[in-house]
Amino acid sequence: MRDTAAELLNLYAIRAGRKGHAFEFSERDYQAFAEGFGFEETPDQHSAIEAVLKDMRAGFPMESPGVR
Amino acid sequence: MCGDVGFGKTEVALRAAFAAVDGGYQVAVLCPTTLLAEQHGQTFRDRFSQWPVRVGELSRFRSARDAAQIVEGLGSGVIDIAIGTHKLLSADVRFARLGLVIIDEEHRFGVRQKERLKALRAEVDVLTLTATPIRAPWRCRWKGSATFR
Repeated sequence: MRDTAAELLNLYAIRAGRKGHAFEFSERDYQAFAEGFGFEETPDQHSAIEAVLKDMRAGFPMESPGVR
Repeated sequence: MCGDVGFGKTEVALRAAFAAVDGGYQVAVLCPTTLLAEQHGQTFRDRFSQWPVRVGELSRFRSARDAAQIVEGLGSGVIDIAIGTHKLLSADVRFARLGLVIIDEEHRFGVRQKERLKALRAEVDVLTLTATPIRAPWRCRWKGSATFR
């Protein structure tokens, strides 16, 4: 039996010690790309996108477990 | 792919991928099946067609020569976005500047791949897309590492 808790703790310790990438991207480029979508974003979709981008701009490794 | 028309998790993935590539990083999009990899490949190529962004696909539909070229492109940094199956997690695949990993339907990956993903999580941003037909047509979720802030 693997010690999942220990593994997770180790992973979190590594993650905590890392700065991660703070993605710096051009807002203008991004807007131009977003316009290529061709649909109106739904509110849920919009908030999902905003949250992901916010995490990406922050300088720590993003974690994103799906809904289980 | 399971989801409402026009309300796709794929768009969330595309935006994140764009932000990463525009920021100078490479993106890996992991799909559980070759078919999904092909579909995503098509979508990504379409959406990025107007941009100086190179999208490469790695799946068993690709010839050995194509695959070798893509692996080399990822190592040299010529390819910005790699879309593929578990092949992307092979030991011989090296990325020049990987910044974001997008995982579609992570629960469909095997144990060995999950081990590799676990290691990746310590180094890069990971965005997981999961379709849950029971609770909703699809859900795309993220979570900042609140514990560490």
